[in-house]
Amino acid sequence: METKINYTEQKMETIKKDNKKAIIPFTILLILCTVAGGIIGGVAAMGFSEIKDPMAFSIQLENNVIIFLGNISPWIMGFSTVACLVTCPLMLGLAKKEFRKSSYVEEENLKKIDLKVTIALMVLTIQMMIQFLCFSIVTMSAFMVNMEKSPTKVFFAVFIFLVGIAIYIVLLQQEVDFTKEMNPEKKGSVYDTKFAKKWLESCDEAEQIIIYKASYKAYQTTNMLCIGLWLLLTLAGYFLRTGVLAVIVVVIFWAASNISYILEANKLEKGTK
Amino acid sequence: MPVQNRLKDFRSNVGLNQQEMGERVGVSRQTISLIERGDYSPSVTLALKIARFFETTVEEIFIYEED
Repeated sequence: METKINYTEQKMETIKKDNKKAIIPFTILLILCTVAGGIIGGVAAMGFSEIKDPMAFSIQLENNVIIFLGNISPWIMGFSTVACLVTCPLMLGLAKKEFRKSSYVEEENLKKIDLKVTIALMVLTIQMMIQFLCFSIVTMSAFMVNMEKSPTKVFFAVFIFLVGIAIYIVLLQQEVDFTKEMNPEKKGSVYDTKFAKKWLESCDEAEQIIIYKASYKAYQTTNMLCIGLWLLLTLAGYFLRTGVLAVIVVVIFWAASNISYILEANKLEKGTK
Repeated sequence: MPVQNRLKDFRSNVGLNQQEMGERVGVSRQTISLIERGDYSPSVTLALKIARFFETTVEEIFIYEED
């Protein structure tokens, strides 16, 4: 009994020590962030107080930004689609050529092949994100600012968006097919709605751990990004009147990520899955 | 990494490449590579499967070393 009490005391002592060690850098970081936030806010407020009509300025700024982004977005969409059409087949082609050269591929060459496949996947993902972002910008700019002036631009953007998504799906399937060629045990097709589930099930224990670790890293990155975005959008809301919608979206995204993580972790701890 | 292993030696002795070794024990080539590099400690099930494949004990292939 006494041993158990001693053990608990020791454990509590360790916890306190760990907390003490962590609280100093945490407090410093908190103070630095507060000071930085104060300076940014103060400078922005001083600059903003010089503007005679803040509301008119905000609307004008928003319109100008949307017009500018709306004008360049179709070009960005086109460029990213072309870049993707060149890079992905090239990387995949080189990887396939290297892999099919002989029946046995050296470990070093397999790493190079994996790298090429990863580059192709990264370009493909970035291309898709650009398509979605630019599509929203072009259509919003047309609806909000100058719909009459820009039907061609909107049609072009819609066309490029649809082509871009089609290219994304076809190239992603090619990428998946090649990964399956390299790893015959893998299952699933991107045209299948249960692709993610089937793919995960066909991964072995080490690959599943890699997926889980990468997902946790993505979760941490999302949290950091949400804090940054929340701060940025709150400041933008004060001084540029960007409204509360953007902040709400970030907080919903942030909450969804954290709540789903907590619920899933809780389920797994209970062993209900 | 407290668990070292001699998987590469065992595999080379029987003349298998990582892909073939993976197929024999039901895992991917990458997993064999990760184990050999010491970047991944296999589960008990996989360690037993590997040991059984080489007709030896787990301790002969995987060596646990205290830090």
